[in-house]
Amino acid sequence: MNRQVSTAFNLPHFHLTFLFLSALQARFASTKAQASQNSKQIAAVTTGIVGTAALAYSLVDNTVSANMADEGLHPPAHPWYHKSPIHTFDHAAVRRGYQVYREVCSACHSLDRIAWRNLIDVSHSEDEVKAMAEEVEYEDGPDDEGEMFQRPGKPSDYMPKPYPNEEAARAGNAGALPPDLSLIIKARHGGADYVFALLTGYVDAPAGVEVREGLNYNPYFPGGAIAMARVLFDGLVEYEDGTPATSSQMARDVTTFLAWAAEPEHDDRKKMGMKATIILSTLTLLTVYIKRFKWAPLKTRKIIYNPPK
Amino acid sequence: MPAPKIATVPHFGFITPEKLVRVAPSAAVWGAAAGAAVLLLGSDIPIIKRDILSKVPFVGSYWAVAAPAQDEE
Amino acid sequence: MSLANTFYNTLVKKNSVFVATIFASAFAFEVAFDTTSTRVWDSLNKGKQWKDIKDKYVQ
Repeated sequence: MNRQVSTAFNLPHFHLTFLFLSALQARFASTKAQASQNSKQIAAVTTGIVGTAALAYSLVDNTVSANMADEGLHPPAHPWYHKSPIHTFDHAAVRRGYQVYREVCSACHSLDRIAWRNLIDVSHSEDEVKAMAEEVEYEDGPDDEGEMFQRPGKPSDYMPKPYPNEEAARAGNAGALPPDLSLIIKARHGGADYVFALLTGYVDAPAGVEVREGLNYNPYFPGGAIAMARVLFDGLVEYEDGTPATSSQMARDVTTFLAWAAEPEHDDRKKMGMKATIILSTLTLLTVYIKRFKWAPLKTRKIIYNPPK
Repeated sequence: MPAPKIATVPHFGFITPEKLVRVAPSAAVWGAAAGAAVLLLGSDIPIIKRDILSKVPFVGSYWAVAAPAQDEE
Repeated sequence: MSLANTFYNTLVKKNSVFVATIFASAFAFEVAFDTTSTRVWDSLNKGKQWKDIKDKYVQ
């Protein structure tokens, strides 16, 4: 039983290139008897893996290609509140954005997953929502005679659709279907940055680029030719809180509104996330300390061999 | 040796009044523990919030149930 | 050292007291942690939440 006495004095000589190995050896000093003998092999395999990965990446994900228009121009990044882990939506912007949606976008775009009641205590008070819902007629029934009838809306009803079905929507928009907006921020690559860039990105087509009749040029739209024309112009909407309604302000507000519509749980989720992070990291640190405390006798034990005389 | 005198006490199975008296203080604390557990695990239930927790002297307002806004009419 | 002893003798030695203390402390911690978190959250997000703007619109 020739066990080596494992102490710190038994570390191998300091090897410049393999600094991490000596740190590893110090870490496992109590359980490993000798330094790793195949450090050269480890270095060779690591280089091989890194080299192969770099080669594969350069072949597969080239940064520039001849067909960038197909991807759409990459939208610039804006400091939306919802990118931060500790910020809620700007609810004043959500309210203004709802006004923009109602006055501009709802002519063509549905918002099927949002009911009137979802707005309560987010952007409008309960009374306001009831009043807004009552202005819209909904079909209900059948009544006692078996007839369907119209009734004023209530908070449990969903947002009214601009068209009764997809065919009517296409007929009203030269064959193009205006997508439902309730999840558009999550559904499009680029999210809020993309939608904002799209709404404010209508420009004249560059020289040589032909856009067919009925389509409009927008560099952010994949392919470059989008069926929707520019809809946001300065002063189109009159904000009730007096904010000047420039087209970029309206775009920012409606994008914030749509971001809320796609993730109505966002504010609560982030607050809960902050609380969970604090508690779990505290418990983790506690766990690490307790484990090391309980293991200390084992980690610091010495084994002594007294050979027989 | 004279015959041993066996005296029995009133009992219900193995439960005797003497045992009850001995175990009563501990049982009382266990009751308090169970009550604390119910309040903790049920602290989100409206009935418990309304009837028990909001009535606690200093901190009761933490559980106050928000009254729904009344119509103007 | 004697603080640990006092702690053990009063709160840990009898299991009934131990369990009751655990539930009561969890209860108190929940109230305190939630109140503090809400206050921190509200100050981080001053002016953005519905409760900050609702006074303009609620009758």
